[in-house]
Amino acid sequence: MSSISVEALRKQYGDTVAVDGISFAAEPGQVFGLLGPNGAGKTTTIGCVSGLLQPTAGRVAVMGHDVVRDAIAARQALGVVPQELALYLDLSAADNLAYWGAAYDMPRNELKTRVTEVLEQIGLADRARDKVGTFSGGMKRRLNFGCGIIHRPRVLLLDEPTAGVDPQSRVRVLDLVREQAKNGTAVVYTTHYMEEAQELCDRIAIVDHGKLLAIGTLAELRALVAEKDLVRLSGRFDPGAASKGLAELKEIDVLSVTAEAVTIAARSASRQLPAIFAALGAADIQETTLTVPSLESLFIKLTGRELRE
Amino acid sequence: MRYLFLAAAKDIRRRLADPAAFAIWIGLPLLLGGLLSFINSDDAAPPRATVLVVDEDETFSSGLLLTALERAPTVELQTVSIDEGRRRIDDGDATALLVVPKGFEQAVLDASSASSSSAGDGLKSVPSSAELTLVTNPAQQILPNIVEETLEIVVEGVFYAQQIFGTALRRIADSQSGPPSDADVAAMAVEINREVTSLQNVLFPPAIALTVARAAPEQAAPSLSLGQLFLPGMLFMSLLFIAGGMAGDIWEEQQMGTLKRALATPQSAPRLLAGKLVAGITMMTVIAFVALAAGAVLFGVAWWRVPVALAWSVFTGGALLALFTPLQMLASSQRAADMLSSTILFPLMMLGGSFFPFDYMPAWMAAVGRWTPNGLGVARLKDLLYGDVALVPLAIAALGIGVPAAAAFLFSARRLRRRFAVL
Repeated sequence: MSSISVEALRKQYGDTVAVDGISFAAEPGQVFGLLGPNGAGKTTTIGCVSGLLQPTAGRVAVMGHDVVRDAIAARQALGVVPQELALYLDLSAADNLAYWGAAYDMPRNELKTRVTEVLEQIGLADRARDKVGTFSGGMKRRLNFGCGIIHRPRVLLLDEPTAGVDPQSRVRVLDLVREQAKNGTAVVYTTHYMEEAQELCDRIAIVDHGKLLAIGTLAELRALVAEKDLVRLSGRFDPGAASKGLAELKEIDVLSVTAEAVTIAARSASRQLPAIFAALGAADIQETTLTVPSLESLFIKLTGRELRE
Repeated sequence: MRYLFLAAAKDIRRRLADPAAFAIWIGLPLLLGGLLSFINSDDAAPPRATVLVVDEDETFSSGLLLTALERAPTVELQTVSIDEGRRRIDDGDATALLVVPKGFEQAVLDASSASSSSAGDGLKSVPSSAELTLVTNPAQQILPNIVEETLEIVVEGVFYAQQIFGTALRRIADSQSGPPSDADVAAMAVEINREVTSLQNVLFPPAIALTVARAAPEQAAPSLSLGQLFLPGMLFMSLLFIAGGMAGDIWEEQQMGTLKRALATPQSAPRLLAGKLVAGITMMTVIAFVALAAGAVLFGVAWWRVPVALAWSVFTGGALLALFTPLQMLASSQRAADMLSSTILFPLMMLGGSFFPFDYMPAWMAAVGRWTPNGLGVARLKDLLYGDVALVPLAIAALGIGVPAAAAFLFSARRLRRRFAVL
């Protein structure tokens, strides 16, 4: 049984489809990445998994418990670290942890020990009694993480936990995530940072416009681009003429052709550039970008645009 | 249950971290109570007029006049010299300066008219006849008039005494060189007895009797002081502030993101709201107890009534909090919620007897106000504090407040999970 399983999840607001039939599963001890640009539907997916949002269709189960029909049991197994800092600034770090632990009905004595343990883990033991309002951004971010793991969840949802964090705190948060996975927790990690996903995640799903575009391990995803380089040409093109000219080249894949840009996948693309330029003939090429195989190039291959656009 | 108490403790601690709001909630009823108590205190001594006296005659008759004047409860006499009297009245240090001129007694016995003249703007020359001079302090408004009226009465009395006992008084005046002889005393006694006997039919019993009847105010309960009338309203003003403030806390949690996080825990929406209700009720209990204890100390509320009044206040306060919560959730932003809440809170205070007691409102307004949620609470609290504890009206009021509050609570819980948390 997967720790978390999402099947054909759909969430619709009126005519707007925020999540369109996404399916994935995460196993114990695995970090599963949901990678996509802002507005791709990652947070909506997390909202449906955590029970905050009612799915329009599909099924989500946490440790076998349906998040709609068996909500309490599902939420008991779930830890959530939201994108925004969900903390009480007027309370101390220890009080925040104690409150969120109590919200998961942790026994009093166990909670006391666990608060001390988590404070050590997130590096805030010496600031336990200080009000959170006096903390730096990085410290708040770590405490935000601590509140999500206080009850030792079997599944941990992390919604862009490093957004707006300084590099030092980012490294610390990523270490904490790895530690959770090492202890057997299934982690679902959303991010739009390609490097984080590559560095941290065992499996990755690439989403855009609410749809799942690709899913697999890093190696599997790299294989999708078949070790081909990506060539992106910007300028002014006649799409018809460009497509016709490029079709005569056998060792390239034409991914997209518009009046402003042409995207091509090709092995050893640098050696093929003269042929490509010749095929485009009279086009006004202003910029040429060559990208070696990566998640970024996969994303471009799948969507025709860059992740950060 | 443990979560409820921890959630309530968390909210109370957050509220205590905002001392300004807490000070308003607890300070307002105490401040108003203190002011009313001061205004209404039974121990407050009535104002007294200080009258400086210059007795230039120093005779039996002038002594009689001043003794009569001193018996007036609003007058305090201080004997001074003419110079000191002038200086102190110029300094505004007394209400009036009375000068009894030399020859006063002689003029009275000679049947000259005893009169007084009043000067508010300076000291007139003292006449040689029996004319008294009263210089009043222009800086004071009421007390000089009281002194003048009192003196007029005393002067009138001296005139009639002279008319009736003139002969006897002359004997006393003539004997100033030494004690009167036994024969003089006997003669005076016979003379006075004769005069009193002739007046007996008029004096005993008095021919004129005065009966003072005070008309009862149309609405005000005659036995309640101002402070007692205001106490229930003041307490409910405080409870309304707490209800409005605590209901608004749901928006603060929404903005902080803690509400979403809480809804991702196994706690249900009703339990999350119940935690806030427990926090509000705890604060209301403390504040209501302080207000009611102040009522017992300052306004004479019977201590045995305090527990029941406290229970009623807390029940109604909790219901008000439950009623204010959906108002917050109906708004599309925190700002809109604050405006909506204030738009309802302040008219409710005015109408529901929390600014002014129903007893001071027009009848139609009081009739409407008594059916507002806080009006129901105030009216029954007044009964519990000062009247008979009637169970039927209390039960009707409890249902009138409790049922809508329960409905509001359920509506809030439903809306909290379905819409509000994901705004």
